[in-house]
Amino acid sequence: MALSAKHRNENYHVYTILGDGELQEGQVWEAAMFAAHYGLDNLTAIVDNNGLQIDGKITEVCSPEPITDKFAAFGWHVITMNAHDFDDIERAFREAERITGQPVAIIQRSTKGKGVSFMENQVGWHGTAPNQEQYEQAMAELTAELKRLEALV
Amino acid sequence: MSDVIKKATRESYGEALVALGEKYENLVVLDADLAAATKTGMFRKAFPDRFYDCGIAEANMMGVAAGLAATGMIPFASSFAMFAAGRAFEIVRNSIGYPHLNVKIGATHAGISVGEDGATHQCCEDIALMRTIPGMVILNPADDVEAKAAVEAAIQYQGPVYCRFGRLAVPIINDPETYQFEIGKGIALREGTDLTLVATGLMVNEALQAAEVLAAEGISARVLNIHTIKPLDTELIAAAARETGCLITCEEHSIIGGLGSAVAECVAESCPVPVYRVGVKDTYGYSGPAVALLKEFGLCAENIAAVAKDAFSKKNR
Repeated sequence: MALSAKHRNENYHVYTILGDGELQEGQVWEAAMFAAHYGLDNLTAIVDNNGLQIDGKITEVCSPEPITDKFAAFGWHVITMNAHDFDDIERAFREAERITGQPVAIIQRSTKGKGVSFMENQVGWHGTAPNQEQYEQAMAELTAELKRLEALV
Repeated sequence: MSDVIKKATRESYGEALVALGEKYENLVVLDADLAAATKTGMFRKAFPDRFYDCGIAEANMMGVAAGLAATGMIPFASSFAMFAAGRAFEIVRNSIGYPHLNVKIGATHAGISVGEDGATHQCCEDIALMRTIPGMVILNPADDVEAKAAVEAAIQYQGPVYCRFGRLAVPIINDPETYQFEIGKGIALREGTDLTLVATGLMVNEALQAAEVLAAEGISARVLNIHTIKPLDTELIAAAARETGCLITCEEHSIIGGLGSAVAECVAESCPVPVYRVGVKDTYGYSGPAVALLKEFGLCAENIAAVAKDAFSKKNR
């Protein structure tokens, strides 16, 4: 779609989201090579780097690290970002918009299940849904945190 | 036979893309480092800014094709059948088939007539793979005239189309002045009452020759050209089953999952009659001259005639 925009002189920007485990897939790097080769600076890939995939830690399953170096080596402009900091998110996307001549990879460091005590960094929550009791507890924790933050404003 | 003009359908494919490039401005062509062999190189030369080489990365090529189609372009993604249908299958299914995107796959070097490149490149499974994708149209033209017509029909059709072309030069059997192509409509090339040869691709010409041999021996063979494997012309095939009582399918593809399977499935549900399948018999090919290989694997008029004679004697037992 980014190539199509270039081909038809359209000015839209394409954002795509990848998991860090997904980077083990060969097709990702085929696309990475292609996007850099055709100078698709209208493409931004956001890699959710929480370090966990279905079978465990990405570094223990089949490590895709070093992720930033790999994208850089494939010809991408790489930005790292803290996914839990709004100011940092804004900084990263502003920087991505300014890059010309090459695609941009934003490697967002994140914590799976952030803010829910029993979910944080637990690989078991990669693809499961909470039951009613767990849902209520999770929402109570998140609501309490939201109230705490709003009191600071 | 010296006055028979031969041309490989991959050549026809390349020529058709160039000829249709002017008419269809949103036609773009992708290849995976095989432009010289698939003949998309002709299009690259004529329309360099509408050609994208994806390198040896067929999965991504299908993804790029999906993106182009989603934004209104008509991409032809080209590679050898082995890689277009085989290597990239999951992307073709999930990124092109599932959203029913307007991607055309130009798969050349199908079947064992690839010849010297051998078993790793002789794809006899592509029709089987593509048939299982809901909404996928499969075109397998018999000669130059039909191949060119198939390319334009694929462009005019809205949705995914798999076009199968060959490497080997094959006789031109259709008249470009009168030939008419319609997706999903088979063509009765010869009337007959004793049995029907249901053929596709380069086997259509072999079936016509087999029918001559059979006629000389008093067996009246109908010949159908099934250029569209999917959607299958079930009416034409069921009528042949009803009227001749015996079908012999002829394809340069595995007897599992291709035309033979499609025809057997069709008649089993509409008009059960014996169906004999001439094709590659669940085995790999090997390296060798294409014409010799076709004979070796029974993909020739002689073998079709032999199978038909046997079928005819069983029918009348």
